[in-house]
Amino acid sequence: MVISSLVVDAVPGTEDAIAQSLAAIDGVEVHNREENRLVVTIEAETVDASHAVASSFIEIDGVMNINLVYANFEDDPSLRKA
Amino acid sequence: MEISRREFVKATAVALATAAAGGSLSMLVACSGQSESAVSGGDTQKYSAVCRFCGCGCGVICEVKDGRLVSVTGDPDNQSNKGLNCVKGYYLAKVLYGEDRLTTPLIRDDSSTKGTEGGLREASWDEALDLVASKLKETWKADKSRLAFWGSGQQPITEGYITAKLWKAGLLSNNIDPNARLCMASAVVGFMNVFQTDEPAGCYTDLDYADVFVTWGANMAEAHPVLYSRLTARKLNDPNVKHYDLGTLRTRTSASADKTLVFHPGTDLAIANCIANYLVENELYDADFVEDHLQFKAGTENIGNAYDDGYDASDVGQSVDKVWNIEFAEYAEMLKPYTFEYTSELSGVAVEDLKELADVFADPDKKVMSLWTMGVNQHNRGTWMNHNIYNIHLLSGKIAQPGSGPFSLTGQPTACGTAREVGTFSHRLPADLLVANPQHRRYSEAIWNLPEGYLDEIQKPGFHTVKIFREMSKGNMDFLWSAHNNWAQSMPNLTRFLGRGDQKGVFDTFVVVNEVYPTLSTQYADVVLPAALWVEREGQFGNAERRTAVFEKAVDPPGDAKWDLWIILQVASRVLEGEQIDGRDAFDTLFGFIWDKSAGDFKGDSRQTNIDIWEEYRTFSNPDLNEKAKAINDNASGEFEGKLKMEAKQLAPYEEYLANHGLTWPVREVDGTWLPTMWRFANGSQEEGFDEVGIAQYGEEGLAGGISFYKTAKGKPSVVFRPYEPPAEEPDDEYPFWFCTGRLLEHWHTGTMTRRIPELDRALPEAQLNVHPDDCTKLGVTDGDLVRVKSRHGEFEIHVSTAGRTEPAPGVVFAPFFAQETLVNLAVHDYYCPLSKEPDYKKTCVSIEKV
Repeated sequence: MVISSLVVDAVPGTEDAIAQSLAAIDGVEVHNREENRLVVTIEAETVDASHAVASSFIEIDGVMNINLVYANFEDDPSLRKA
Repeated sequence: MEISRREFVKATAVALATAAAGGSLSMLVACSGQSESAVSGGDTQKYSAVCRFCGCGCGVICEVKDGRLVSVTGDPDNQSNKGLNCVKGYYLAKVLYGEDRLTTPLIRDDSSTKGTEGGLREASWDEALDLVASKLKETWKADKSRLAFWGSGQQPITEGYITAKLWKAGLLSNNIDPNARLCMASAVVGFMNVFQTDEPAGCYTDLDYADVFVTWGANMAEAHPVLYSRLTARKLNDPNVKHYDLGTLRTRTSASADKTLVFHPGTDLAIANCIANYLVENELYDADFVEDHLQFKAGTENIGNAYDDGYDASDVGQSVDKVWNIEFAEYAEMLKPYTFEYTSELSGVAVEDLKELADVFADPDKKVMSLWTMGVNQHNRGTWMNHNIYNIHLLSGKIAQPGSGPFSLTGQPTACGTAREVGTFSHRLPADLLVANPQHRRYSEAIWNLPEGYLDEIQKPGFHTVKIFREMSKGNMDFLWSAHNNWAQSMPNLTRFLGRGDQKGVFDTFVVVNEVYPTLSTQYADVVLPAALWVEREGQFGNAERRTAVFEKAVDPPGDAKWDLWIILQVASRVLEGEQIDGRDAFDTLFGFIWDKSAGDFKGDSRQTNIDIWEEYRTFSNPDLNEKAKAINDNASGEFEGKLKMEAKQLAPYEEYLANHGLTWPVREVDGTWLPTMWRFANGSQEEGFDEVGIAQYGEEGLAGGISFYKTAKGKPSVVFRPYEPPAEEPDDEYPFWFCTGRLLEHWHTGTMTRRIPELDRALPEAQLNVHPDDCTKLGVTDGDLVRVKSRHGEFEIHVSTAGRTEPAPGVVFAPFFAQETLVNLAVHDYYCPLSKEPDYKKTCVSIEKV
C-alpha cells in the first residue's frame, strides 16, 4: 500500500463541494482545511495508482492545483527490488 | 507494512500536508543528513535532494530504509518550492526502480543492427572503456573535427564541469554542446546581447508579488506546475491580479488566464514591437529609467533562414550578430510601422486586446512579470523575440524589482546550472566566459594551471548541436559520445539524422551513449555505458532562478551501473595516457586533484570529490582565491579592455549549499555569513535579498529605480530593434498546416523515465494530433482516425483528436514528442535561429491525410 498526502488548492467557495467529491473517491480522505487548501491523503496499491487518483482531481470543478507533499512507497509491490 | 507503522506513516502524511498547507512544514521535516528520521520513525535516513524532472528545481527530502528509497517529501527549506511538489513527484521513486534499468555495459559488434532492438551484447567495464577510449583517441589523433560530445541540461554541475574541462583543456576541442541548445540557447544569446550576463535579474518570489502576468508561448500549467500553482495562488489572493496568455494555441494555461491572445505563428515579434511603439509614441515609457540605464541599437536584418548546411559560413550567416548604436529617435522611427492596426492584421489579435496589453506596460503602478520558454526560444527568430520582450520591460522600467521583471523559464533541472553556468557549449568556457576572448582564455588558463596561451588553439567555437548532427549525417563524424539525453528522439529532422533511407551517417559513426534505460539512442549506440541515476550519486542542479542546490547520494546504483564522472575519468585517463602539458603529465595536471591514476579511482569519497571539484569551479567566480586569476580579473596589466567582474556570479563554499538547501547566486559573504541574492542589480539590503554587495563593488548608486546594471558594458543594457520577419516555412497548397510540438504534464521530454510507469502511460497512452474541428471537417477526419502527417523533411502517422489537451487555432496542429512509436521529429525541420542556433520546433509546415 502506498500512502501519500497532498494539498489541493480550491477556488474559494468551492471547498466543501470539492471535499465531498474527494471523499467519495476510493482510498481518498480529506483531513484538514487551511483557508482554501484541502489536506488530503490517498491510499492505493501502487505509486501508479496513487498518481492516477491524484491526477483525476483536476476533473473536479473548482480544483486549481494538486500539490504532492509526501509519498511513502515502501510497500509498492510493483517496484523492482534493489 | 505493520499496522503500527502504517498508522504512523499515515499520521505523518497528514501532519506534513497540514503543515505545508499552512506554510509551517519546516519544523516537521528538519533534515539533518543521515540522522534517524523524525518523519517516519524507525531506522531510516534522510537526504536533501532536488527533483530531477523539469526546470523548476523543487527541493525534496529522500527517505531511505535498508538501502532503498521509501519516501519523498517536498523540501520546506528549499525556497524554490517551499514543501510542495507536483504530481510528477510520485515518480521520483519509480524512476529508480524500473524493471529494465541498464546495469551492465553493452557493445554492438555489427553496426548494421543499429536502429533495431537487438545487436547489443554484455561486456565488462574494462572491455567497454578500452574500446571507447581507443576509438576516441584514434579519432582525436587523426582529425579532431570528427569527434563530439553531446551533453545535457540534466548533467549535474560537477560532472558537466569536468566533462567541459576534459574536452576544452584535455582534448583542446570545442566540439561539445548540450541539449540545452535545443531549449534555451535563444534565451542565453538574448541575455548576453542585452546584459552581457546570463540568467534573470529576478526570482520565483516575483510570482508572489506581480500585479500582471504575461505568458508568452508558455504552457506553464503543464510544463512548470509548481510555479503555476504559485501564480494562481497570487491571483487568488488579489482579485485585481491579471494574467494574459499569448500563444498560437489554447492550452491548460489559457484555461485559467483572464485573457488569451491567439496569434499567427511568428507574429509575437510584431506584438512586442507594437507595445514598444505604443509606449514610445505616446511617451508612456519610463523616461528616467531610459535616461539612466539604456542604450539603443539596431542590428543586421533580412537574415533569412538556416536552410542549408553552409548557412553559418555564408555572408549573411557571418553578419547576423552585428549591431550598432542608434539614437532613441531612430529607434522610435523603426517602431512606427507597428501600429495596432498593422499588428492586428498581421497577428490576428484584436486591436482592443493589443491595446489592453500595451496599457499594462504603460501603467507605472503595475508590477508586470513576463514568463516564457519554448514558444519564444524554439523560434526561427528566438533571440530576437527574447530581445523584444526585454525591450518592453526595459522601456517601462519593469525589471529587477520584486514582482516585476522579464523571467525566462527553463525546461531542464540544470540547464542553468550546468549548460549555462559551467559553460558546456561549443563557444563557452566556465562562468559566462567565451573561447573567442583572449582575456577569458587567460583567466581559464590561470585557474586550470595551464601555460599562458595554451587555450589559444580553441579560440574558434566548435560545432553547435545541429551542426554536429548535420555533419554526422554527411559522414563527417567518427566519434559521438552522449550523456543525459535522448537525441535519437529529441533532435528535429530525424529522417535525416537517423539515416532513414541511405543507412549512412549514424551507421558509420562510433556512438557511445551513457544511459539509465534503453532508449532510441541506445538503439544507435556502438557502446552503451550504464549510469547511476539521480540520488544514486551526489550532484548539483542550478535552476531558472539562479538557485544552486545539492542532491545528496541516498542509495547505490543497481548492478554495475556507475557514476558518469567515474566513466568520464576512466576514459580520460586512457585517452590522455602519455600526453603532456608543459612537461607535466596531462591527466594529472587536469584531474590529479580528484583521481588517483595508479589506483584507477577517485582519491576521496563522492562528497569529497564533489567538494574538490566545486572549490576549483567556484574559483571562476571568486578570483580572490587565485592570485593569477585575480590579476586578470582586475586587468592589472592593462592589456585588456577592462575588468572581468567575475564576482557578479559569485558562488559560496560547498557546505553552504548543503546547510541552506540551495542558494541563489551571486552569494555574498557578509560578516562571515553567506547570503543569496534574489534581485540582481537592485540596491537594497543583502539580508533581504537585494544586490547590495555587487552594487557597492562595481555599481553606481542613485540611478533610476535604485538599479545598477554593473555587469553590463557601460552599465547600460541594450534595447536592440528587432523587426518582424516571417517563419522559415509558411503554409502553402502542398503543406497547408503549421505543426507544433511540445511537452505535456504526464510525460517528461522523450518519456524515457515517465513512460516506464504504466499508470502514467495509461493516463496519456499515446501521442495524439490535436486538430481544430473545422480543419477536421475540411480533411474529412474524425476523432480516432489515423492520419499521415507529412512535411518537406519526413512523415509520421498519428491518431487525430479534437478533445486533446491543446486547442489549436484553425490551420495549426499540435502533438507532443514523448512517444517513441509516434516519432513526430521525423517530420520536424531543423532550421534554427541564426543567432542562437536553436531549432524551431514550433512551425513546420505539413500536409495531413487520412490513412
